[in-house]
Amino acid sequence: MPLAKPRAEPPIADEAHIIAEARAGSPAALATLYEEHATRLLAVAYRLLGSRDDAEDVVHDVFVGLPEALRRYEERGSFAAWLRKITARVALARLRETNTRPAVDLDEAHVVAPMRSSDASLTLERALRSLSPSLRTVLVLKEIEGFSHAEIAAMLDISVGASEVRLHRALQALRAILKEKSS
Amino acid sequence: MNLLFWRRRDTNDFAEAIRPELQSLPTLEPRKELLERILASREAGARIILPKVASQPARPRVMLLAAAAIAAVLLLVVIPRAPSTDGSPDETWASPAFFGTAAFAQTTSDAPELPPVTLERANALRPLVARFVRSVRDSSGNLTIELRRDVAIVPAVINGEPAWRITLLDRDANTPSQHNHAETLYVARSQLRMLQRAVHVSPYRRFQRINIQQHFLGDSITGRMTTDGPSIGPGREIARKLNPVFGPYLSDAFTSFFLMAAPLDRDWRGSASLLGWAVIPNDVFVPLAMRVEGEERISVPAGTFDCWRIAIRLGVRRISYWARKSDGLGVRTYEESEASTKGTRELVLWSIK
Repeated sequence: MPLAKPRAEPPIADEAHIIAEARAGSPAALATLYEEHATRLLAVAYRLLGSRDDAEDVVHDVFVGLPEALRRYEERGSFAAWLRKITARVALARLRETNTRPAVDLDEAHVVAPMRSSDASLTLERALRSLSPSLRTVLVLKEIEGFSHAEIAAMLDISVGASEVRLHRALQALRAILKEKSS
Repeated sequence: MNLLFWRRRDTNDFAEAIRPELQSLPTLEPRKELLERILASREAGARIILPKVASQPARPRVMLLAAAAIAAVLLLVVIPRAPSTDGSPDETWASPAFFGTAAFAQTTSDAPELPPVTLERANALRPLVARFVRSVRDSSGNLTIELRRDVAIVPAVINGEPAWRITLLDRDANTPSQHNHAETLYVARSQLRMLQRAVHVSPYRRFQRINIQQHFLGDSITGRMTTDGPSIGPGREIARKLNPVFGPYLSDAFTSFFLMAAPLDRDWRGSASLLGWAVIPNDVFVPLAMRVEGEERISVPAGTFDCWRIAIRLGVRRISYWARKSDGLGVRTYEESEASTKGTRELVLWSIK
């Protein structure tokens, strides 16, 4: 499966310097942060929205707003994780705003071909997309992005219990879809 | 990849098994033009307020509170292509600037018509205290004082940088304890570049008080607007680009002093911009076009001074402004082009200490 290669984390001192430059409005520093993180952030947005165009709009918005947001960044923990969480929140806001239904909107020829997916991953991709947005969102945030139920609950304005229930239902639904496809 | 996970009896086992497959699903590469689009948007002045998130995982209770705040902030995301998110008709959050209401006065020309004011005599500013009054002459010739303004300049240090702290307090002459407008502005002492600004107006529409906090860094202005009585919670984020072409920027508190740093003479002319609150898109700044149009000796309550008479064009408004020749201090403004005023406006220097 042709995956995007994991990028080596930049040295902390370098990253801090680049962040400081970006915070001051340097386009070059912003471009450096983009090169470092955009692919990963696009993946987060794409998984939640199911549309390349929408996902790229989210990444656009995140980087356009990043210099000002960095002025609030406390430089504790991982910068990449902070950025990923912001991206997830912006994508969720867009999802709510547009009431996107990716299972209907996706153009598979457009989306799948550039990824050169294997049959198995394509099947899984389609199964994931066929879930309802509310179930897919929790599944993506928990199982792919690794957020805790507490974090997901906060992002979606639901209770932790509701997040757990949705994940359980999403897994059951995904299992049922894969079972059906394999038979 | 093995897709026979459905054979797993337990959902948890299924989750354990499917997780690595989900995490290894292929990802998209951003299209090449996306970075160009981002940089072009920044260059064009687009600013987007992103939701606040903690740098480290927060405790559940904190996360719940953050979710409420984030939900509110997300509703208020400022995106140029969707200006309608900035306010309902009865809550416009616009500044009462330049000695009177200038809300929605912002113009959108590509560039100012005059060269920018050069504040090359920054060291001419000095500590001072002054009082002005604004009077309105009605159609029968009666003069009524409607506003008192106290301003002061004192030395300060902001983030290690020598600065001037300029304070302004406007009080309604008739109900001084009920209506006031206060501003604190910090400017760098070396170039008179704005560093920080805070504005409080009370009352403001249906609120007991509105609070504006602004910070200036590079070409950006950021900050927050909040209200008291009632509070609107986290308020509204401010994030705008200040196009350098329209600089230098000044605020209401600085209007009487900034020409102290300009090399005024009989041929002098220049442009600058008056900053608004920047909460809504058309209250970010208003360009000013200024020309010396004469020399006059005028008398105000504080004394008689030889002055440069300067014509200021502020959108459709025309203001005459008298700056003292000796030090450039503004001692009088006069405006009669604004139909909403009952007669004329007059700003008179009352005392300088």
